[in-house]
Amino acid sequence: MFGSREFSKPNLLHGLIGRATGNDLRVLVVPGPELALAGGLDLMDAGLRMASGPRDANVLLLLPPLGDKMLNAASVAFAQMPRPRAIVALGVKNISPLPEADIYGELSQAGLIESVNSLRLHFAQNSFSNSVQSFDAPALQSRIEYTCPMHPEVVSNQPGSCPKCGMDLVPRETGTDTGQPEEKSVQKTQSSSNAAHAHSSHVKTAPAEVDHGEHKKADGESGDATAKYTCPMHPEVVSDEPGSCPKCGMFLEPVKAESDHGSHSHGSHSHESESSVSKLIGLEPGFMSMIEMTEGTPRSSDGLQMEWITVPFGPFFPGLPAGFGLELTLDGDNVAKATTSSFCGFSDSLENGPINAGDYVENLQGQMPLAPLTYRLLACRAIEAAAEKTSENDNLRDATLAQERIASQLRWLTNLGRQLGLKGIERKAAKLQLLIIGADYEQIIKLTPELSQFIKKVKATPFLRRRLDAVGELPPQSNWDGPQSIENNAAGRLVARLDDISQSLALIKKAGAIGEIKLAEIGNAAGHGHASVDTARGKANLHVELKGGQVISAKLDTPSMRHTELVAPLTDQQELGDALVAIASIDISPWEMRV
Amino acid sequence: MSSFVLIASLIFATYGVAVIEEWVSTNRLRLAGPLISTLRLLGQENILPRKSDRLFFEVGPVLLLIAALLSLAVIPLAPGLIVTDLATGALFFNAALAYVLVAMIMAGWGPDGAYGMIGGWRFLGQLIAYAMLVVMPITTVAMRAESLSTIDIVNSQEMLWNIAYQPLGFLLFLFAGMAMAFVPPFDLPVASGELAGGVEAEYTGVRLIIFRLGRMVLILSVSSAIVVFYLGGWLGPFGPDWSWSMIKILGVAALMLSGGRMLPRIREATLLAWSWKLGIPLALANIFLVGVLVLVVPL
Repeated sequence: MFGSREFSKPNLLHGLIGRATGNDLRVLVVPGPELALAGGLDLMDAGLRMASGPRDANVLLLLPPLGDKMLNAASVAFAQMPRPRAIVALGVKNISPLPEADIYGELSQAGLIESVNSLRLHFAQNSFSNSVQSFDAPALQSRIEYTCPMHPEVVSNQPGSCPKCGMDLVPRETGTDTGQPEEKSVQKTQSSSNAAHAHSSHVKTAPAEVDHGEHKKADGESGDATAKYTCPMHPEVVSDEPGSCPKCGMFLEPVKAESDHGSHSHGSHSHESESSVSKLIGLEPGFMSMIEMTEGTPRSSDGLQMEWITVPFGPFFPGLPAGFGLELTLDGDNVAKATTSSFCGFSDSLENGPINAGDYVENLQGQMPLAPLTYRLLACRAIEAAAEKTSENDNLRDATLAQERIASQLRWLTNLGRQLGLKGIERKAAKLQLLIIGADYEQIIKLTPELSQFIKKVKATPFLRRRLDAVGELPPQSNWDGPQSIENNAAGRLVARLDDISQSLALIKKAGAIGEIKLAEIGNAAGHGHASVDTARGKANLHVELKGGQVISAKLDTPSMRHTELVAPLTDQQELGDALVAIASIDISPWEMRV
Repeated sequence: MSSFVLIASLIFATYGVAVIEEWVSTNRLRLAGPLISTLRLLGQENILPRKSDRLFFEVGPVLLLIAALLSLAVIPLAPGLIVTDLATGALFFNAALAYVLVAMIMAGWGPDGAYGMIGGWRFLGQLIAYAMLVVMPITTVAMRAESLSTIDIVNSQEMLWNIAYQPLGFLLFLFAGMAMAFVPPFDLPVASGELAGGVEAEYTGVRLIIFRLGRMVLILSVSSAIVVFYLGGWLGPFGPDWSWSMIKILGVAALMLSGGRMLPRIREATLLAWSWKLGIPLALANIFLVGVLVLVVPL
């Protein structure tokens, strides 16, 4: 059992705990809660509570579509979930490298409820077991090598003793053997903040290593021929090897030779080494000095030298879009650098050659689970443009698009509520989203008063506008084409999204019905076609080339691809909380990013 | 007998706070909720993160619980129903809760993870915001009672509760107390949407039980202090004294926990700016006003 806790003879108390576990389910959703909402799953209603991270979760809920990258990240998260734990897979079968799911179910609310019931039984019976299997995520596996504590140059693949001093060699991790030089400093910690939220290869400087300030030099440097060791209290004691001071017994500390100064400059910054500063102010080297702690670290914009840490956020971070990988380099709690990635992007290259126009439409729709109909419409329009056909029910198609826009904005509001701790908004937006998707025209019209009331309530939430006012100002002339707002900040974009819901409702009302999106009969048409669609996130463009009724090439341009470039300027020198709110305010969908 | 009553009411009230906490965060009232969660965590694996600072990791949650329990020692439920009636009770309350910061930084640093560490340091920023606003309103409460003893403070409100006598002080102490107990919207160190659990992020099993218990006792302690300092403690029109204390304490806890959920999490910069630019001048004005009131209308 990969999820049970080991116990040779489970007793009555264990049975009780198992039942309690089954009644207190904390779920980590892969790819993310948005996918559950978009798929019409009401997790709360099924008795599941969202976990804030892998350590908090006891259920890993897998929903389609799942790519390799996502499954790898999920396997890391699963490795970090405390036992007893379980995997529930709805509508997915192959989940390798994760172990077999404990419960398989169909992708529907009924399937979810049935799975949760089986899960309760599963936890009651299998929380504790005497045959437990360990699970190591492949992405977390690291190579262990053995080294001598006194002679760092001695490295062996096997445990043993040091040929120089006879001491037992101690194990150390070197990360997965990828051959990339920077991977040398990768520390695979089991801490959920580091590895769980990102594929390990994204962690270049593990926060763990830096934040504890052990202030060791990199391995390469410790074996540096120019390194000398001195006593912090007796500068006259100098040795070529580490050891203790003959006068006071203190550990000798490494000192860099003067000739090494140049190697410590970082980019445009440089700093004075410990010894030159000591000379300047006439102090004993190393005595009560903080310089060594910040030696070699880059300088902040305010000129202070601090230790910078690189922290991965995502792909399952509660306040960010699911599947969105974000790596922030933090200088204190200010963002010094932000890099983004996607764990679930699309591919518009037709690897298997030309495909049937109808299949292409289905394919693109399938690749965009958060806006399937929007991209279906985009593909239809582009293909029809190439075939020089016109669709008759454009109004109805726009109404369908509007319905999906409302659902998308409501999901964004759910996320905003989760990020800012506004439970009321989170719950209500999720509930309305579930009602909107799959609703027919009459149902949407019936929901209109409730939606309008909700919009008013969000606008009137005390301090919400104020909270968002100071965050998320886009640089002038930036490439933003999401919902247009009067104010250039997160508050403005909130209002714009709320207004977008109202406008979409009006559009549906005007259309009088909601239409199906079907590709017009194009026959063996050939030619080039271009189309664009106003998605909830901005304008999406598609260019297709048809030949004999088949799509031979396609080029997709999505709003999220363009908006990802705004992450860096939006977060630069922002406090961490503000940076995350700013990123959320531009509503990037990682499904709309290229793999 | 009285120690039995004290322990029983502590357990009852802590459980009550936990029920309310779950109620406001899930919108579902489950009387057995905290019991079920505790049982679940009892059976959960106790994970020790690699490279953790073992001492800090283990001590953090325990210290949080101890600090919160210590502060409750000077809270009277009724005359004679108090662990210790210190002459410097109000000061002791503040001193005991100073260790909450130490506990949070230890718990944040201990597991060797970025989220926890940032959460711990965030709480330090939070302390700089709330610390003065806890002490300054207590000053005016003590001015009126002419004593720091919590029993004397309750007795001084026999004619008129402090919430009416010094409403400004009440508001300041309420907000500062909420920030001290890091309940929403002041939950910066344990924010889910910003830090994936922050200081709590790496704790599992029994350690998490202790951490959460410490947090519940802390919320209980802050609401008890609000009741003693501003809501007349055990004073009530009829019935046993302790029941009034209990009702008021749980009422204040419910108010704090549910009220905060309606507001977005505050920005650290805003919290500091408001505390120092607005809160402290108001607290000084409150000291002046109450000083005048004590001289002119000594109720």
